[in-house]
Amino acid sequence: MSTDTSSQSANGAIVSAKKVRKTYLRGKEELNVLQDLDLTVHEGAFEALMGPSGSGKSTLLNLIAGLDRPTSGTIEVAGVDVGALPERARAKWRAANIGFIFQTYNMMPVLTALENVELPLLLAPHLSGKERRERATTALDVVGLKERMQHYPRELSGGQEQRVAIARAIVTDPRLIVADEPTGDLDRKSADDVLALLERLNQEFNKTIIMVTHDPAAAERAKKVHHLDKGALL
Amino acid sequence: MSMVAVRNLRRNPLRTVLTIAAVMVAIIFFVTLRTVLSAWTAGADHAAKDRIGTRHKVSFIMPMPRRYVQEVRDIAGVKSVASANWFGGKDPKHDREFFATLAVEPKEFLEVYDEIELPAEQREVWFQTKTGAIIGDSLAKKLGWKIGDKITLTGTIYPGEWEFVISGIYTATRRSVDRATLYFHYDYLNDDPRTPQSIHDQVGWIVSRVDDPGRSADIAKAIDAKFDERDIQTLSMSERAMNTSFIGMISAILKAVNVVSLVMLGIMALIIGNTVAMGVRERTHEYGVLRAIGFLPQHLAVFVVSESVAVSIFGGLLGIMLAYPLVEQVLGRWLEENLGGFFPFFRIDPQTIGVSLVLAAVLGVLAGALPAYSAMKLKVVDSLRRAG
Amino acid sequence: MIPISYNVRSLFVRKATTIATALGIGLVVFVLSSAMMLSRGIRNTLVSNGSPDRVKVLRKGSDTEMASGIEANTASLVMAAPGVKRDADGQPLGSPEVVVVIALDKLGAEGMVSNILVRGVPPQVMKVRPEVRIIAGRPARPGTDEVIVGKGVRGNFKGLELGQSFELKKNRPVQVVGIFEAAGSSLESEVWCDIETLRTSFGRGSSSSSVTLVLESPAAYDGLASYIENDKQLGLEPLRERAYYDKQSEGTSIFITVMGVFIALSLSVGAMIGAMITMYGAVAQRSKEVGTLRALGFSRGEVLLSFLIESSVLALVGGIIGSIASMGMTAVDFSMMNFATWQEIRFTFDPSPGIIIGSIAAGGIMGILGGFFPAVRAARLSPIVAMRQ
Repeated sequence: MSTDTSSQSANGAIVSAKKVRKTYLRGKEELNVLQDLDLTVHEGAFEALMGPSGSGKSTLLNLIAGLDRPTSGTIEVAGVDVGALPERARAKWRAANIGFIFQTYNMMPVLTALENVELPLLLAPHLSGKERRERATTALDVVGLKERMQHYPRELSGGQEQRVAIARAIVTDPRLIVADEPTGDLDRKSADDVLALLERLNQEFNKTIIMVTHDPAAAERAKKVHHLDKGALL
Repeated sequence: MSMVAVRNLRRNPLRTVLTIAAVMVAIIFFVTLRTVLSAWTAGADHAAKDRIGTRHKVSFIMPMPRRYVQEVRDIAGVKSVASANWFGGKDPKHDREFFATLAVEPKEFLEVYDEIELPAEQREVWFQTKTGAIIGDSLAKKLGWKIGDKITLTGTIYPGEWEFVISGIYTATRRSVDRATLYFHYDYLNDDPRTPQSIHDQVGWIVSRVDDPGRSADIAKAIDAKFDERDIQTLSMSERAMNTSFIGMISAILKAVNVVSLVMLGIMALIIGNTVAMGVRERTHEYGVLRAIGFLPQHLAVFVVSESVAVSIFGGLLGIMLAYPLVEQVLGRWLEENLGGFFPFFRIDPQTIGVSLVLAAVLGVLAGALPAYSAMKLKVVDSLRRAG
Repeated sequence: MIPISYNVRSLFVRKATTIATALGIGLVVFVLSSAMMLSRGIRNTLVSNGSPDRVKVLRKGSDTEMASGIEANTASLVMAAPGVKRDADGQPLGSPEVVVVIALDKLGAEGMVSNILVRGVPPQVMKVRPEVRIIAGRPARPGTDEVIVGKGVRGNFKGLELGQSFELKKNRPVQVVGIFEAAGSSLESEVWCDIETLRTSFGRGSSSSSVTLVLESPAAYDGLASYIENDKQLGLEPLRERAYYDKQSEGTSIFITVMGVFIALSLSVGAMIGAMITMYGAVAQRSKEVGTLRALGFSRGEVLLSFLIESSVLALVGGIIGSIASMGMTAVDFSMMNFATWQEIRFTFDPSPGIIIGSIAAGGIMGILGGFFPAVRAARLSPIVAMRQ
């Protein structure tokens, strides 16, 4: 796995959100989920977003990951104004730049661990089947599950499944890894393993990680913690 | 408790609507095919019992001597007798249109076929015009012929071009008469020099009307007995029995149509069963909760089966409601006008409606049986664990 | 592209649903394929009577042999016409024939009668129709009451079995001495007897229903045709044998095709709704998976394609099952009246690569049409659903 940092933007910021506002229409009522929020995350950071339910932390993470677009304001991620990209371009951009880790792992139940990890590589251009398999195997090796690669998700424990998900998140060598409550469904022991793995990715491979969590133990591992409430950073 | 079924159906309205639509389509199709079958056999059911047809024993396309007509008339119990000859004429201008053309003795013919309605003045004109012909209202509509029109038909059995004048347009009070036939004078045909000698003074078949329909089988026997020792023997049977024997010749098609209508019901059962099974799988957790509260497996089965029966009966009712205008107005009208020979009366049999509804309900139960069984089999602890 | 194995394995996970839906489509394909096979069988049976070097002559204006009549002197004039092939002895190769349809009792169906075509043939008929072969017993001797029976109707009717006898008409019994085959054509549904026997039994004098001629070469047809048509005195009409049987089979085979296609179309509406329900279910059940795929960067188009592939794989499985099942119909005999002659003919279901591929493809199309809206729904799922707990 490469730890290429040459494409770092001039100020070293990989995420810079300016005056980001997100409103949803709930019936006739307008709901302000994020209100003119500013946030900067530097390359190589490991930061946590915390806050009560409905504080807007997940919405913010979705915006950074390019799953959604802000109502107003701009979010630049790796030098690209993500909100301005049309649907199709955003999907392409996500495939190239973002690695996802979900609370419920979101494995394809009908694919083996190896096939799940290979999945994002199908979107990477010019990779032969052999190369894809090699890279997926390497990623599974990094998370310590190389020997389980032929297993289906239902044959793995929750902690193992989440580690496969982490392998899937890093296999494309993305600029940014976003994690949404990565330990939310795990027992303490498995949670600690997963957090240790994330920490290692950050330190050893210099991966930038943004993580939404309400688990104080998880937040403790982050280098920096942002607190949100009612759509604003505290 | 069946309220639960209805509520459950509302949870996935799209799926429920699609399933009902599938049942509806299936029932419309089923009713249509059944109507095809009953319309085919309708000829037999609506055929008069008091009419006896007599034909050449070997084959109905072989003629009999004309004097047989008078001899049949003399048999006790026979009220009136008419004969008919297959003319097989075609209108060169309507080459693709098939319609029956029959040579008859007008007076006797209308006596025997008293369900044919022809206004008195048209009747008189026809009787007095040797080249006169009467046509059914659906044929008149199809070919655009009017009273007074002169038409020319090309004979296929009787060679040459034959000219006719339309003297009248008839309707029928019963279904036993095709309303797309052309009838004309036997004498016109028989007296014409173009008629080959071999079929001169010959008739295709003889139809007699009897006093007592209950005796028609005996009279048919008496007719055949009379000609038994002649050169040409006859075969007589009531109109109903005759139509039944025609149906026998296309029985393979009827059987195929029958099988296909059952295939449709099979597809319908698969669709309902699939829908209900999907619902049961999605609600595994809820069923676990219900069991935990104290509901018995039988209760779950009732929920599941009433859901599938509700869908099938509702779809069935909708299908029948739509089938009526579709079959009777659109398809039926078209068939009666264009293929009147095959389908003189294309209407839904009330019995078909009953059968369709009962079958829909039965299929609903069958389709729900397997999913109900799997719901009953669920282990409370397992299903509680399997969230959503 | 999202791997197809993802779709195939997902289908396996929902076994019961997959089987139910595929069977529904399979039934439609079965009906469609059977109808096409029967229609083809009808055409083949009737048209295979036709040989390019044979001509059928009927009375002008007659559509069928049944309605035609040719006097003896006219028949000999036609046989002597230019373009008619002659045998080694210089005799013209032509066969005047009389046809009569008689009703016989059907076996295995109490009280049912059906029409059998009896053809009165002259001694030289075998030279005119070399495809006819005796497969059991022996040929009938000319001038006797012996008949041979086509293998298609053998044993289906009372008296139509080797060694048995039946009545042509009352007190006119004939003896079955042989069984013949005729390359699968409708002649196999006929009974052949001596032409004189038939003429005297049915008062036909010396006339015939039709004359079948062998041409010197297929190209000789035009000359012969104009010779016959130009002689108005003859009042006859020549037709290439193949064209004649084409016309005979047209009505019945179009009827079966139209009916089959209409029925299959109606059935397929049901099957497509079935596929739609299943695919909507699949999308709903896997919305999180779809959202995840979208989050990972797969485009809407790729998700759409993936679900379309899934539904067409589902439908193709059904199509293949239905198509294989319809092959079973080749073992079934379908005895039906030919509308043109009122004669009962035994048809078979005749498969062809085109029918097999076409009906499986029809199944696939049902899958694509039925799966389209569910696939659109899948494609429109927001990647955010992947984040929901």
